[in-house]
Amino acid sequence: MKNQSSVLLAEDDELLATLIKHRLEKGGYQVILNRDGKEVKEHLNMSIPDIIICDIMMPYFSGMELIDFVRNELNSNVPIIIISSAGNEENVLNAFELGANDFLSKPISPSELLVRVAKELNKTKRAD
Amino acid sequence: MIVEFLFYEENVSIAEDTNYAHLKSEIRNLLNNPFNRKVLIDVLMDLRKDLSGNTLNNLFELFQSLGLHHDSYKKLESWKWQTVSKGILELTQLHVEDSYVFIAKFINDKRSTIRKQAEIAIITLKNEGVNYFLDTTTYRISEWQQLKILEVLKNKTNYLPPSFNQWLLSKNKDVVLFSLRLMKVYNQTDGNKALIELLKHKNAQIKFAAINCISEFHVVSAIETLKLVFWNSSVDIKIATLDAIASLGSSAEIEFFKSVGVKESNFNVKSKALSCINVISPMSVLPTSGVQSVDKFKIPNDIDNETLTEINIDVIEHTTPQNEDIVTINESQSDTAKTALKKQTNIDKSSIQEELISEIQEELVSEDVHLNQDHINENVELPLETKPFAADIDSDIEGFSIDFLPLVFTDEKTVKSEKYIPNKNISDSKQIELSELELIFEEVSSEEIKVENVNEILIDEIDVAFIPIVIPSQEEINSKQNQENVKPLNPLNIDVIYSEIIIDIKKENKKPAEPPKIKAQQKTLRKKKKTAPKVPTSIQDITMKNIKNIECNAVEVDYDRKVTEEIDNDVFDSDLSLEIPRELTTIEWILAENEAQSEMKHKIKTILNQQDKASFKLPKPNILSENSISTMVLLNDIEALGDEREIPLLKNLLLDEKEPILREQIEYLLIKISKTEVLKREPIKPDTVVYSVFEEYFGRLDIQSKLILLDEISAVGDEKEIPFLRRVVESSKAKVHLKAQKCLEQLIARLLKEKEQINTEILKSKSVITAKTEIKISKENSPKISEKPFSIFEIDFDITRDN
Repeated sequence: MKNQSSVLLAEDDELLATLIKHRLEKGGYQVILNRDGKEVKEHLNMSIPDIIICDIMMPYFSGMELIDFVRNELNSNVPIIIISSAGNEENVLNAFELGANDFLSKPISPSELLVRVAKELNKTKRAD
Repeated sequence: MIVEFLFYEENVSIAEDTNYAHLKSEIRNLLNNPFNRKVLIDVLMDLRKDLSGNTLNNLFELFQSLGLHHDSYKKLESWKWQTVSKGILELTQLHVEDSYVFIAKFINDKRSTIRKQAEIAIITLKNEGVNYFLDTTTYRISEWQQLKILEVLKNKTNYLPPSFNQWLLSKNKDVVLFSLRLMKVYNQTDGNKALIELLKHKNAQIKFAAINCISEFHVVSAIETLKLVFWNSSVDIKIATLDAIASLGSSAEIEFFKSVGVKESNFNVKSKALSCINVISPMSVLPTSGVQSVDKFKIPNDIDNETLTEINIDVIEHTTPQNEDIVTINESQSDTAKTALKKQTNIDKSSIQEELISEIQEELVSEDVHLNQDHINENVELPLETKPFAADIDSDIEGFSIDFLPLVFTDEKTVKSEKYIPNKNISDSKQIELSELELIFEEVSSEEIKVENVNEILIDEIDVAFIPIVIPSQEEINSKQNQENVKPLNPLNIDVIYSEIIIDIKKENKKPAEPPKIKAQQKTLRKKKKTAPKVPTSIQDITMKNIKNIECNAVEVDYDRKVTEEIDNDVFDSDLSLEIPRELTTIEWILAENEAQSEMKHKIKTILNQQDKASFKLPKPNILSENSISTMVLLNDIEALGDEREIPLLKNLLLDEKEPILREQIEYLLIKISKTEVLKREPIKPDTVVYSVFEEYFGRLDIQSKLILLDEISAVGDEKEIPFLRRVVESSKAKVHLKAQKCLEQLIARLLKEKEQINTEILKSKSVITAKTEIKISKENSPKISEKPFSIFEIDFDITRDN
């Protein structure tokens, strides 16, 4: 394994989630897959990953709420990459205002995602 | 497994490569099952939405390498439109370029969904798809479809659009329109000549699109054609054409716009033409509607009219050529034309004056500029009527009725010089606008007005026809003539001589409409003179009777003025010195009139009452007994509802009834019923068509319901249903035919059974009756048993002794 950075992937679309997970794992990341917002919250309360990749539209807990939870309740600066099919300006701006680090509109290229994840992790490493 | 395939890279380790080969064989085994193939296609289709980039290309390759596209080809062969559509969608979404040829066949498919899907597919699959589509399509291309195709084209990478002007020659109107749209999108200016030619197209949509393209590409050479085409176009096209000319043209086109403004009848086109003039040369046409006249504005007193007119002249000299044109027309036209043009010039004048006032005020306030009298050139011919407003009004007032206006006196001079004469020169009057009048009002106090002989003026104008004519005596007239000063009359001091006049009522009744004859009246007057010397000398002596007589006399006089004149001459000039009331005051006249009227009314009432008693007697009520009333009700019912069956009853009633009214009614009914045609109708024959209640309902049902209903008919129907079922049997539908036949048989069988049952019951009942009757008869025939109780002692026997 090149590195052992943990990635929390929150995506309700099973097929896409599997695909991304596979790609990230292939890229050398440890991927924790969560299907809905509730699971994500539970997991975050236990441990905070190196990076979070989440969809905006999820059951129980939306991507926006998740950002707010991480930034305001957990007070964590963990990088968050948002994936959304609703890539309109309002959503993008809202996500960035709340504290998202990156935004990807569907359809996504898994390879591109991999690059973005690496970039964000590098940033945090540099900051540390 | 799919993910492994998607992210497979060639430069991997041997272990991974062997794993990949193993997976491939595994998946091929799985794909032998058609269900698995279907699931895999769906998964790939689903993944395709969320993926992009290299992974997506891998997905496309996977789809073809697994041979799943063959499944999609198979779908194209289906006769179901939805399957074909799904096949086309799969091949398009998963980019199977080889399918282009197969899909292109559906470009002119009669099923619109397939056709539209194919259009999108071939444009998506290959760049030359648009060319093929525009070449071959014969159907119309909807606006939505055009937008979708445009979206596909925009998303295409490395796409070089063809020259779309080649499709401007297409026979398909929509292809031409779409080509024009594409030309506009890709800014293809190489088809200007074709665009100019399309301006002459008979189709308005194409014309409109061509005009839009010409405006967009700024094809100046099209102006002449646009002008030519303009006159033979619809309103919308005309407006678009004017817009295009305005955007392309120069000041040379102003004349064209002016001619459009004059010749065009449509308001929108006219106003567009005017706005186009402003587009070419801004502010050459100024707004006129809603612009107020300067006359209405309050001007400060220190600015006199002369100053205004001076500036008017200056400004008008410097006005636009348009205004000059109008002015020259105004000067050269005849008087009648002048009045027609006045409105227009007034509008111009008002707008100019408005500007002037604002300018003057600014100048006076800020710079305190004194306008020099030298500026006024007296020899200058004024293009507009630049006289002071008051003078304008004077000239206008001459021919205009201003009776309704209040008399306002500005000063003594004007009052004297301009004496108002009502209705002056009405015949020569010109029609002028009220708004054009300029009036200067001043408040007038009561002290300032010295009105003389107002009473005279008033009396001249008052209509006194309603006042009864009072005939003065000759002496009175003479004395009046002699007296210069007329003293006011005191009604109490008047000596009135009354004479009683008896009206001959008989004569009046005979000829009430005729006015009284003077001779006859003279006679009566003479008679009265002899018999009635009693005449009241003062007002206290006047009795109501006298007043009545006076009234009668006055009424007679009022009939006709000629008559009164004759009376004047004849009666008063006669040698009989008859004393007739000479003067009566108004109060006396009113009193007398009221009294006479009430008396006359009373008389009329009494006469009418007498007549009523004599001739208009109401019929006495004919009270019937209760029995008769019920009979009457019965007869009414029979009249309304009865038929020939009521004849015997009516006959019986006629025999019993004694009341003449009822007898009359019964006789009338008997005649009526026996003569009524309706009741003479023949009874319904059994051969006539029998209506089945199911028939109407049956026609509306579907086959299944019909079959159910037929079962019901066989179960509950009666004889009426037989002819209906026979008609149903003739039905073309096999199911219904068979069912109806079966039902008919069942129904007939059931009805026969029922009849048999009824018959047996009847027979049974008959046999019971016969048995009973037999018993009865036998009983009647059998010897009668003695009614007395049997007694042993009645046995007739003899007791004997046997030894």
